[in-house]
This record gives sequence, C-alpha cells and structure tokens, in this order.
Amino acid sequence: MLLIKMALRNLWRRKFRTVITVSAIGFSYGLLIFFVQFQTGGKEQMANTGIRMQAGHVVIQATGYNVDKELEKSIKNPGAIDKTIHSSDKKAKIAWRLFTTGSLRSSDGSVLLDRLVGAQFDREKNVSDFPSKMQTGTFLTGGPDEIVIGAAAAKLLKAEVGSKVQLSISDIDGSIVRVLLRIKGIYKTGGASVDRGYALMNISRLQELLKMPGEVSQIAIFTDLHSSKGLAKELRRRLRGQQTEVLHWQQALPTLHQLLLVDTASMYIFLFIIFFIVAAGILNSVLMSVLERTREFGVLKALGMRPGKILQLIMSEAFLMGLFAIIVGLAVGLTMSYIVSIYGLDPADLAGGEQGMEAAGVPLTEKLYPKITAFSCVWSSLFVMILTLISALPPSLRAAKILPVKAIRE
Amino acid sequence: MPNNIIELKNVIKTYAQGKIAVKALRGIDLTIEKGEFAAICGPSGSGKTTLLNIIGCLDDATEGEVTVDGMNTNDLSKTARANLRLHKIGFVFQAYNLVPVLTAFENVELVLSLQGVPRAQRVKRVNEILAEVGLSELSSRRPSEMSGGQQQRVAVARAVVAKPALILADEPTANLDSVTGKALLEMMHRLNKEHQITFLFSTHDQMVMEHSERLIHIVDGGIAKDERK
Ligand SMILES: Nc1ncnc2c1ncn2[C@@H]1O[C@H](COP(=O)(O)OP(=O)(O)O)[C@@H](O)[C@H]1O
Ligand SMILES: [Mg+2]
Repeated sequence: MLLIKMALRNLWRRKFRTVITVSAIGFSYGLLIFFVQFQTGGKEQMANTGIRMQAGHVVIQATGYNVDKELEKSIKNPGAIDKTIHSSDKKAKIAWRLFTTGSLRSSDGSVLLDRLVGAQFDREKNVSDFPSKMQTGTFLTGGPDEIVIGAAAAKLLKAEVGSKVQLSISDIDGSIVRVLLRIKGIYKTGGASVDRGYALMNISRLQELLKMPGEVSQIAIFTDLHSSKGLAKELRRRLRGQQTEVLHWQQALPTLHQLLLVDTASMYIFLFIIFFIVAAGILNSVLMSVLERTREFGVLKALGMRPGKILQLIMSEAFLMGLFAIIVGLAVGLTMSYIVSIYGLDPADLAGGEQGMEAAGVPLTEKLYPKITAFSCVWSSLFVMILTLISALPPSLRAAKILPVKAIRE
Repeated sequence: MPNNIIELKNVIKTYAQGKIAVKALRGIDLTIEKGEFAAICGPSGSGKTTLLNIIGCLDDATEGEVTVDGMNTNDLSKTARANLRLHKIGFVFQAYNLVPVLTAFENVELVLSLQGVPRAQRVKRVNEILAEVGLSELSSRRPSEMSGGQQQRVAVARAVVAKPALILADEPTANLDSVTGKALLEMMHRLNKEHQITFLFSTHDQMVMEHSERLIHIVDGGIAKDERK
C-alpha cells in the first residue's frame, strides 16, 4: 500500500513527463485497438461477401474441380450429399450451382462471361448477395428463359430488363449451344469483374443445355465463419471415397484468403511499432526518474530498505504508468471504433474515391465497420502491460543495486 | 550485555582512486559506550564520513575489526547488514535525506513500516515522536514545504522513532544557521538523555563541539585527541 502511494505521488511529482509518456503510449495503443478492430471487422465483412458471392462457408465439389474447372468434374448425386449435410448440421443452408463460361450477344454488342451460374433461385435467395443487389428487374423466379446479368454487361449489350439476348456455351460434348434468353433483372454489386463477367440462370435449364441432367459443379453450404472449419472436417470424413472434395472457404477462395493473411501481417508491423513506443517510452521515463533519485534510493537503503522493495517501488511506478496508458488507450481506441461503427468507412474514400474496387474478386462496395471484441482489448492490454514491466526492469534493477555510500556522497 | 555499543580495532580504510591508493583511515581504535553523546571532529577530508559509514555498515573497512552492539560486522551478509541498520541504527545525513513525496508523518512512519510494526502502533509512536521534536503541527507537510531546520528535525525523529541503539549523524547542522543548529542539537541531547540512545556525530562546527560530551579529534585519518568533558 505504502509502495503504491509512493509510486503514485512520484508519478504526480513529475506530471509533465508522466503525462507525455502515458499519452504517447496510450494514444498509440488506442490506435492499435482501433486498427485491430477495424481490420477484424473489415476482414470478416470481406470474407462474408466473398463467401456469399463466390462460394459458401464450406463447398463440396468433384475432386480436382477447384484446380481445374472442367465441366466433366461434376457431382452426380447432389441429393444424397444434401442429406449427409443436413444430418451433420441441421441449420446449414445449401445451394447447388452449376458453373460454366460462355458469351452473351445482343443486336448492339457482346460480352464474355467468366462465370455463368446455374442457380437454384429459391435457395440462392437465402444465401447469396445477388438478390439484394438488383438494380432493375428481379432475381430469378424459375422460368426457363430467365437470365440475370450485371450492370456493366447490360451497358455493353445495350440491353435492359425484358431484352432478349443470345447465350452461347459449349455443352458437355463440346458442341456449341445457342439459345435466346430474356433478361429478368440487372444487378449492380460495384465490383467491376462481377458486374461484367457474371450471369445467373436457372440451374435446371442450364443442366438441360449442357446435357448434364441432375449434375452440379458445387454444393455451397452456409453456416457461419467460426463453426465452418469443424463442419468441413466432419463432412470430409463422412464423404470419404465419394470422388468429392470438401473445401473450407479459405481453400475454395485461396486468393481472398491470401489477401486477408497479408492484412494480418500488416497488423504485426503495427504491433512492432507499438512495442517500440512502449519500450522506449517506459525505459526513458523510468531510467530518468531512477537517475534523478539516486540519493533518495541511497537513503532508503541506508535506512534498511531491501533492494527487492526498491525494485517493487519502481516497478509499481511503471505498472501504474502502464495501467493509465492502457486506460487511455482503451478509451481512445474504443471511442474511435464506436464512432466508426456508427457511420462506417467507405472503402472508396479510403482508396481516394476510386470506384468499382475489388480485392481478390470481392467487390469492396459496402461500408466497412470495426468489430469491437472483448478479446482484442484483453490480449492487447496484457501485451502493453507485460512490455511495460519488461522495459522497466533494467532501470529498476539498477536502482535496487545502488550503493548507499556512493549515493549519499553525490 | 556488552556495555560498549561501538568497538573499533585498528580500522584502516583505503580507497583506490585510479592508480593511487588514498588512505582515508589509518588504524582507528575507538570505543563508544552506550548512552554517549559524542562528536567526531576534524577538518574536511579528515575521514569523518568514512568512519561513520563503516560504523553504520554502509561501507567495509579495508582492515581491522568493527563491532556494533556486540556484533562483529566484518562478516555479516548484505541482508544482515540491512537488518542491523533497520533495527539498531538510525541515520541523520547532512541534507536532503527525507523522501520528497512523503509527508513528515510518513517519512517517520516509513522506518516502522519497514520493521513491520502494525499500523495502530505506528501511528501512536510517530505522533509521540513528532510531538517530542515539536513538529505535531507540521506532520502532513512534505519536505519541500518545510524549512531546513524542520526537515532535519523530521530526519532526527525518523532516526529515533524505532528506538535504535545508536544514531549516527554526519554533519547534521552543516546546512543550518547557528540558531537552528543549536536548537537541533539541544533536541538531540534531550532525546539522548530521555531514551538512552547513543549519539555519534561528525562535525567541524564549533557550536556542536561545545555541546558534545566527548570530542574525538581526527586528523588525516587518525585519532589525534580524545577528550571527555
Ligand atoms: N569514494 C571515495 N573514493 C576515493 N576517495 C575517497 C572516497 N570517499 C572519500 N575519499 C577520500 O577519503 C578521505 C576522507 O574523506 P571523508 O571521509 O569524506 O572526510 P570528511 O567526511 O572528514 O570530510 C578524503 O581524502 C576523500 O577524498
Ligand atoms: Mg564528510
């Protein structure tokens, strides 16, 4: 108790220095908290967008399809697999998809499709982002000649809802199939390649055109970010020997996953900078105070104070400084996170107003929000406190070793 | 119970200063009895501080034997020395020896806290001793809010509060004006009589010499004259 009292008063006695040190550490720590939370939120949002538009939390495909997207690599028995999925996770949402490439032509233009999706309109509505991104018209309703395209494609085709367009694809035998479809709706995600090179039609019609009745390229499963790894593992076990591969979204969307990992690396750089600020700040502050108080420690030791007590005294000062810095940091960081979580940050603003931004094929159009997690506050506080104590140790040991004779003569 | 609080036999202290060895004490033989009020006097550089530091277990003698309150201090561990200082010896230094962030009361209480005396007892004893040195009114002041004489009285109270066997005071009046110095000395003399605490000062102040009951003159690290009044 006496030590804490002395420590507090010593900090107060050097208000200016204490305030500088505490605020330098506190503000940079606050920035770290905000950065981590913003990044966590942004990464989850990106992952979720990518998952909803291009895959699922877990996807099941024919063995080898992920590397080599050939039509022949398809799942022949999706109905049976659905049952397996449901018996593993009752709440999982499922959508079958058949993918191919092709082109669209109108009287005024044409566009290449990187990804034509044969979709189950009723299931897709519950899992995919496209139904909510319709600019004009509606999403698929199950009609055989429906197609939904992106805004950029519509512009190239000079087509609108209700226009007829000709779709060219090659079927499973390699023969070209041409068919007239009617544009049911036009979506706009904001992602350049998705708005131009993607299109969706009803899966049964696409199966028929490709001469692949009942076959699908992908079974996409939607649960949540955190339980999906376990589900993937279980399905992998249960579907062993069925010529299928069960991919977690990180495997199904490797580019996106890589991008998110790079983001994580930048956080470590930030951590290192904080590390430096804390260590330098505390070391400087504690060392100066020890050097100034040589005589005081000499007297205390002459009176019979043990070196361990002197160490405790100075470490208490460092501990309190760390504690104040953590409080300042949490206040600054959480306030920033809170404000940004109300308004959100537009990624286009962050990138200097550029439109149609994409990262790893995921359109960055939605505002990004920080995710305030207790975990991010707790571990980072511990990190700052441990660093504080480690940095304060060398000067504290120095003070504990002061020889009273020398100190008093000074 | 030995009647001598301090016994020095042929104490020699040599400081290595670069290549030259400075002989600060050249064979001191000295005995101080319990309850004495004695002063070591001599010009600056004669070895007074060195001698007090050795007696107070703050420094080692290069040669010779040092016994404090019946304990030979030559072969004590660091911890044992710290304990000896804490329980048997009180220190008053020339100046600036209070903890700046503690009040007068807390500065005096500190020694009792270090000794592990329970709080209720500490408060009682600190208040008593502050009354004895006439500082009851100033007990909540910090050192920076007190005059030099008042600070030195707090230092004396701190040295006395744990009722040590011996108080070592290195030039306690050197930073004080003569009136204040005299008052301090009279106060110490009173404490010496009331509590039977041995006082050993160093000084080159004529006034202090006049007040002491015994004067040990040292010149160039040796005892030149030892007079009892
Ligand atoms: N740490 C030291 N290193 C070298 N010489 C010292 C040291 N301390 C004291 N001395 C020398 O020892 C002698 C006695 O010093 P000191 O005990 O301080 O005398 P006084 O207290 O009587 O002024 C002086 O010559 C001084 O220079
Ligand atoms: Mg001296």
